Amino acid sequence: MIANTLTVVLILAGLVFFAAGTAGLLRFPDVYSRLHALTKADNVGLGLVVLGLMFQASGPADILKLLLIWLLVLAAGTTAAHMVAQRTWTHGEFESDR
Amino acid sequence: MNGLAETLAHTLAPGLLYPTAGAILFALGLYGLIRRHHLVLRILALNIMGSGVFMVLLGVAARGEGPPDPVAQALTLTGIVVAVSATAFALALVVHLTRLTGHAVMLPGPPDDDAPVEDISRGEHHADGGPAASDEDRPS
Amino acid sequence: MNGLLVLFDLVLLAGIVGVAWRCLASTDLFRAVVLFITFGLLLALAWVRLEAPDIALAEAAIGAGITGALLLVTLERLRSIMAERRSGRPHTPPPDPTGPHALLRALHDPPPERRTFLPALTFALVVGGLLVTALWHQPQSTGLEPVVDAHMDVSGVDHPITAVLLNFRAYDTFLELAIVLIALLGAWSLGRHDLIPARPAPGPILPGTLRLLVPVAIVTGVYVLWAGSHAPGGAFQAGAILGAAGILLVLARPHQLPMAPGVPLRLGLTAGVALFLLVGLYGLVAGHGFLGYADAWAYPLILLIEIAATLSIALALVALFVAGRPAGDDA
Repeated sequence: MIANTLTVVLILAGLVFFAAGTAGLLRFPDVYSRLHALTKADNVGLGLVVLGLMFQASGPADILKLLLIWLLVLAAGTTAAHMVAQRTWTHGEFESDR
Repeated sequence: MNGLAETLAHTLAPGLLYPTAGAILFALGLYGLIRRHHLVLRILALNIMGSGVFMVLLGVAARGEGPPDPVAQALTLTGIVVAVSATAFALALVVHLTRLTGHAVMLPGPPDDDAPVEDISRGEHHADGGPAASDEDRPS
Repeated sequence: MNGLLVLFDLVLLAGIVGVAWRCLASTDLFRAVVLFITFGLLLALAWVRLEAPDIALAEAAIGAGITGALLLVTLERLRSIMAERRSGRPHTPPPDPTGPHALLRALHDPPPERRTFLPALTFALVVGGLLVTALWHQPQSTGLEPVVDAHMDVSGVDHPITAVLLNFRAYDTFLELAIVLIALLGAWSLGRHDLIPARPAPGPILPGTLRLLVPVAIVTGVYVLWAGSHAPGGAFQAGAILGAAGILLVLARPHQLPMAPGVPLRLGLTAGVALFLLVGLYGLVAGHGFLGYADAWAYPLILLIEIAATLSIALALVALFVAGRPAGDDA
């Protein structure tokens, strides 16, 4: 009962972060600030969702698997954001496009 | 009121809602296939039609109260792999066509018979670019 | 009937149809491809909702991941070909564009003309209407699930989908592996591959992340292959995961791929179909019929076929991504 409530609350909190990241993607003026908002907010959002799901897990193995999923998405998402930012930097896009 | 609720419950059950949505996706893909000109967009439209078919198969498989039908699910899995193979081959064909004619858009009307096409009968050619680079310009 | 679940279904399906519509309505190819990848991921959610976790795994890995990579690399190749035609230079590595908008105009689709609107709309509505009517009037039946369930103890595995794919309907899976091979042969018949249109990213981040991700991908792929006998998973999902790791490695090469070893590559690609055929013929000779297994040998044979199929699918997906015969072969 408490576990279910915690799951729902944490997943909703994670969704709020995802929504904030998407709002940043749509509203910020240039690539760097959009990347910053998207990556940070999505990582925290996914962390909260994973934390909420841990209360539904059926053992320590499942908990570790969920943690591993979050860490892998962290690594992949950060690398992707880094590469997008690097590509934009080498093309000299400093001015905003809004 | 109860009759309406029952009909609504029956209509919105996954076993009927998802096949309907799959049929809508199929029709949407068909419309896009006819209307768009770029070949890659047409390949995307074909993939969307395929996904509509998968949604119909899986929706029908999930009907009823028991576990879903594994044969329909296995057929859908086969379909996904076949779809990606066909898409990969189709994309290779589009790249080859672009190399020969310079564009990947098929405009309606009779084909342009006077357009120059490179003579590919001699010399090496490459799947994703122009004529073969000689060994000296190949970067190390 | 859970009202929240119905609401979830409606929102998800509205999202799926909406993304598909915007994907087909976009005039810019890059936007269409990105929307298509999103469409694939939303579909994976729909498959989970329809109690098909195997299909959700396959859709996310193959439908969204591999197809997305294929589409993006094709757009890059098209861009390079059109740029080279404009400049008239001989084939060189794709030049850095002066800005992201310069060559994207090469990948622009003109909006369709007015006169096809009504015929296309009518046709699509008629086809869609006929489909929906047919689907709504289907007779209720239990499907083949009880039949499969009754034969699970002789199938050699515990997971019904793997049992159907590799035992009851093994012939379909055999032909499917042959189709993957034929698609690769078709792509190979179009020419050789030359330079891979990937520019190396300077700095330590990409190689470092690959050093982390590729071993994890390999372990995950092997696990998913083994887990397919009793849980969602199997040869195709495992092949897609390993293929994705291979595509990552191809993309991170600085300039050229090393020469692919000719004979081992071909052996690996045909291993799935060949092993399947051998097992099938052995079954024919031993009296169980083509692709029939003796009951005690069902699980080992299925595992053997799945291992070969995973290897073939992974190699075939990477080869389809590279899309050209390996350099150094005879013409």
